[in-house]
Amino acid sequence: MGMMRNCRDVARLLSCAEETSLRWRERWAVRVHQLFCVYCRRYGRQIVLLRRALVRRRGLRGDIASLDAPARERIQAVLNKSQQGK
Amino acid sequence: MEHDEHTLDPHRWLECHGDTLYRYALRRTSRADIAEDLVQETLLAAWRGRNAFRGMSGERTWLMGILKHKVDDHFRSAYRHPVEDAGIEGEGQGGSVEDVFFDDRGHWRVKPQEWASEPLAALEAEGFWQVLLECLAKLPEHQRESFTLREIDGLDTEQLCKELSLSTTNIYVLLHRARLQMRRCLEVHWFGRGNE
Repeated sequence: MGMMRNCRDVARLLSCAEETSLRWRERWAVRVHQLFCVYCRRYGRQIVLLRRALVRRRGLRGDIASLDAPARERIQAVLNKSQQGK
Repeated sequence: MEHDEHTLDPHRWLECHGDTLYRYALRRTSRADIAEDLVQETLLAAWRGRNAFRGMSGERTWLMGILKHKVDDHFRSAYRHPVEDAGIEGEGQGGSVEDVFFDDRGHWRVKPQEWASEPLAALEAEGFWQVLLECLAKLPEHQRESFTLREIDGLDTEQLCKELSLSTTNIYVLLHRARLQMRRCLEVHWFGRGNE
């Protein structure tokens, strides 16, 4: 493996870096490539941004949400109707 | 029938599992109204298909299975049209997604553009999530599933492998392809820089 990687490799490594820590050789190759390549700099920055936004979003909703009373009543009414029509 | 009617009571399902189902649907769709509808449809479908319930997998697992199908159906039908073209390529038999994004020498064919100056603010705008979900809906099924579980539900790689019964290597490839396409799709449909 030479030190010079192309954009295709670097994009793959940038995505891998989100999942696991890269070997120092890979990290170095990514850094060096990014020095010269504006597109891979952007790509790396943008997928990290996307992740940060999604993490923030996760904190905002979902885990503590619950069905409110009107929604429950609505669903119960529909279930009643369905049970009667069986 | 194998089960007595008491064990199969949709009102009790709603009581005991309603919130779990709702949270799952909400995480997937980011829309309270749609999530409620999906819970309702799930319970109805479960009631109609109650004879198929064997009791082996447990009630909640059974209901979650139905809900997952409902969520998939929802994505398939609701987002069939809005994000038609650019950004998302199906995974054809021949070339991989990477071949769409990179040329023979491994250079970007579809070059990442600069986003707006305050991208994080844009990422938090309400409309953004609609676009994001539309982009997500256009991904091939495995990519969509892995991206959703990883980035929206926040599972780690190990949990992902278990959930999807795939190897780490496969998961990395799926996530990589999903990220390439999601980034591009958002660029085209949200940041509006697709034509440069």
